Amino acid sequence: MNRNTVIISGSPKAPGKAASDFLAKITAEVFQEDGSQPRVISVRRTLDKKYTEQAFQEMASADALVIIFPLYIFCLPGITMRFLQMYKAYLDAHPEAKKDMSVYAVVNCGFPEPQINLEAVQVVCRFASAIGAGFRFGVMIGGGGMLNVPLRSAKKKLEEYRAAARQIKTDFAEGNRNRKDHILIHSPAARKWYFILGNIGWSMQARKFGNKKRDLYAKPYQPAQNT
Amino acid sequence: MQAYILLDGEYATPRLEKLDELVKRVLGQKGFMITEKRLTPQELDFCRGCFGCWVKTPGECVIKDSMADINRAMMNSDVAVYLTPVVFGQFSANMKNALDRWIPNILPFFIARADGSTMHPARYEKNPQFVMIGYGDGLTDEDRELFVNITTKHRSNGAVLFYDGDDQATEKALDAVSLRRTEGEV
Ligand SMILES: Cc1cc2nc3c(=O)[nH]c(=O)nc-3n(C[C@H](O)[C@H](O)[C@H](O)COP(=O)(O)O)c2cc1C
Repeated sequence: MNRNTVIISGSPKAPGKAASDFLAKITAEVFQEDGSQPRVISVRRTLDKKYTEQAFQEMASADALVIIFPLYIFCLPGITMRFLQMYKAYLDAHPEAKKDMSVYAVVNCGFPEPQINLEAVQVVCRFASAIGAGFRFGVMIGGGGMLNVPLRSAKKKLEEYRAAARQIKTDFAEGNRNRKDHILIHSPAARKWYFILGNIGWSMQARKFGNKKRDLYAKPYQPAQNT
Repeated sequence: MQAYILLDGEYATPRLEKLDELVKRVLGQKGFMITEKRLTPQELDFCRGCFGCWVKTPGECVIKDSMADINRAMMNSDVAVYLTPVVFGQFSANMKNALDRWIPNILPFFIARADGSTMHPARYEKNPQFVMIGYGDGLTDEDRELFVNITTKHRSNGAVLFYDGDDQATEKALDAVSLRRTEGEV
């Protein structure tokens, strides 16, 4: 039986800069361990270069879709939604392309608590049911931006992700018989440190653009009566 | 009193038109001046996750399109009403682009909410009250529950309601929402 996997990286960041791209790469490596050749599709590149028709054909021929993206305001980013809406429209226009497939979600967020990704995972579940596919489970990652920093704690979390990706692979290979819970991966840094380091990080980034910490509090749209 | 209505021209169904009429009538009766923005299909570029609005040009998105006018008008309003299609249980892509690109109006720093969860502080002392009105054909209970959780579980100043063609029910629900600027957390 043909077992095609398509991994989708849904971050809007410039290609290669996103935690989602990094996670997509690791996921592909895990699938390659068994000699399979998953296809990785970057949503941003596909939309920018207008390769959607080709991407949608590949997605429609997949047996498993692993949809990886960042959490934006507690749900999917606009760009990822655009892509999934377009894919649904493509399937509506090509009903013969609809087939059974397993869908997995991998969501990383900026805040340290991974459980806030739950609603985004549930949106992917609603998407799967809208395209007639079977949703399996999600991997929810806190402090996603820290995953590829060269720290021992980050490396440990990365190994946790690799293990989660193996669970996706095994679940898919075994034909998805058992119900599976979502997998949570906590931030590599303790919450207190995460706040301290994060807040220093913003001021350091601002400095690169010639801004001081106090400049970050600008109020360009301050209305007269809003004081 | 000023109200700002944002709606998705990409999903301009007869139901949206009815809803739009209803909301404008109710707000008008309450004495609001109304500004309305109908997003054309794919009018707004998507947020590119660069955080330029926090560290490069604080408070303003680096992408130059109509989002700057939308943000300015919203921050000058007492209430911001989103008439949004509910797709897969969340905001449609067009509306989500507008929401993602609202983040210039908050600060980058991490702080803890009263319940211990993480949040970003507001940039302005006062913010419009957000009202999200979801619509769509054949919305299931699951869609509704998910949309409610997305819009209310992690924020302090959002009200959410649905429109399924019953004007009276929506009018009553809208009556129950405080339509005043909020202070503090968003
Ligand atoms: C517009 C916008 C909205 C965001 N909303 C959230 C959020 O609601 N919760 C959160 O924890 N992180 C949020 N983030 C942070 C991203 O989820 C985080 O930076 C993530 O690691 C980015 O992943 P990526 O590199 O794959 O794009 C937001 C970022 C942006 C740009």
